[in-house]
Amino acid sequence: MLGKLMKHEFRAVGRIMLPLYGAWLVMSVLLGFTINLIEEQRIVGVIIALIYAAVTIAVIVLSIILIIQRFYKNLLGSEGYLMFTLPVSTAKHVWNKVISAAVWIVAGILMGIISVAVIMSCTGGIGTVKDAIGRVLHEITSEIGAGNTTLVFIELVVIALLIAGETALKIYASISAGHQWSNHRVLGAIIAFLAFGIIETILGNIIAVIGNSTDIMNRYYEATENMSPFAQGQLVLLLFTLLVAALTAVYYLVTYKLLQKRLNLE
Amino acid sequence: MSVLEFRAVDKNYGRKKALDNVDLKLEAGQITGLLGPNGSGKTTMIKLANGLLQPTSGQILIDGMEPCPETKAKVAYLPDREFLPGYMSVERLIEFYSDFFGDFNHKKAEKMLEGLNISKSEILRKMSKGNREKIQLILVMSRDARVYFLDEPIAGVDPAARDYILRTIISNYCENSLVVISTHLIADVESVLDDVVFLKEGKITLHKEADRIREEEGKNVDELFREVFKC
Repeated sequence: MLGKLMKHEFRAVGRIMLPLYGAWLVMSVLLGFTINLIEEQRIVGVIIALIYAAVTIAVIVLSIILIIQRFYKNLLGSEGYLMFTLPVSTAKHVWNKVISAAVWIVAGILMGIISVAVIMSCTGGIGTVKDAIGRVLHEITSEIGAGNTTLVFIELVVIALLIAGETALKIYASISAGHQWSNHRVLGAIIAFLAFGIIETILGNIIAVIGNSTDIMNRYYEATENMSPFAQGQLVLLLFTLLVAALTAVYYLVTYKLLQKRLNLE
Repeated sequence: MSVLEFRAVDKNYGRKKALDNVDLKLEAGQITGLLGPNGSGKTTMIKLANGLLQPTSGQILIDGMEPCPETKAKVAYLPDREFLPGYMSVERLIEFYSDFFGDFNHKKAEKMLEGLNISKSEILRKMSKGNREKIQLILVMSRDARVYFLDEPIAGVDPAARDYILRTIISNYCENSLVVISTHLIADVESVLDDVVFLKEGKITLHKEADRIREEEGKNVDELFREVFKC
């Protein structure tokens, strides 16, 4: 059933985002070819640059709006009467939205990279960029080995997906909490979002105080002293991943419990 | 075992009591009218049975099970509002329903659509309000469900559409299933009802077969309703 939910979710988001991605690519090509014209035919170049900027902003803004809207409208608006009477568990509904949001966020980032690459190829500047990237990659590879470079690359993609999922779940938890306040649902969601942020900061400060007032940090340095720089980096990455995963779990539970126990559609 | 059972169900919204100790058993093979004025708790009962609300106390059972994905698979629900995504075409909506509901009957859907002169590529949002409501009803009634909950299916439609809706309901449910129609427009649905439940301020005040009401009270359901709920 999760597969079916995702199929319809990707169609619903894709019908807006895919044409926008198409427009972004077209504008990238146009910008790439006209960027050198800016000196001679200033107006054309500037107009195309402006349209390109507008499309880029539209992609970013719509990505965020769609994450919010696909949850708020599709699950908690009138469409919720359809979605929550499907023979699907609440957990699957939440996962469907989280996976979709994470994938679209990462897709947006990849499209941004592709867009820049397209502009560079059109201007002929791609060679220099390729060389630069090649040099950086070569340096990293010679430092930590080819296998480890691949590993780090995969880790970064996984962490990006995780952070995207955590961000989406924080938004979903806020919307679900705001939904409890029947007359001011949007305001409630905004207050909940800010409150989650404050709680995160306070917890962060408490952890920092504990770290400073005990010798836990010293012991950490002692324990990791003899590790290679690569292993140390991996450990930091792992700890960071665990932190994000913990936040993801908390926001997931808040969202799940509120939808499961306290759903109250308009 | 009853198809639908409410056991001592209370539902409070904050301090307001929407349902007060509701006990109800409904069997298959009949069309039951859930009748009461606005705000008497009809929609709350239906939402509880669909798992869209949780009871404050008590139990709701469908075929012996509390609302869950398994019960949702055999409950067809027409809410009292427009609830389908407006950007979808009729074709997409049919695909959506048959993706999720194993009991969705394509033949039934095709047959009902034929009589309506609506092209399958038409987008829901671009249709007239009347046609949107008919599409909703067709999708719900195309399922071979165990229970159909129809919340105010005839409110706000013209008399011709009203006939169409009632005909569609009668000709698409089978002996194995239960149909629950909630409404305050008794006169229009009276002829199709086998069983009648009166709901007043969150309490069930009467549950009787429609024929027995007419026999024992010497008046029809509409007249009895007007008497019981006189303002």
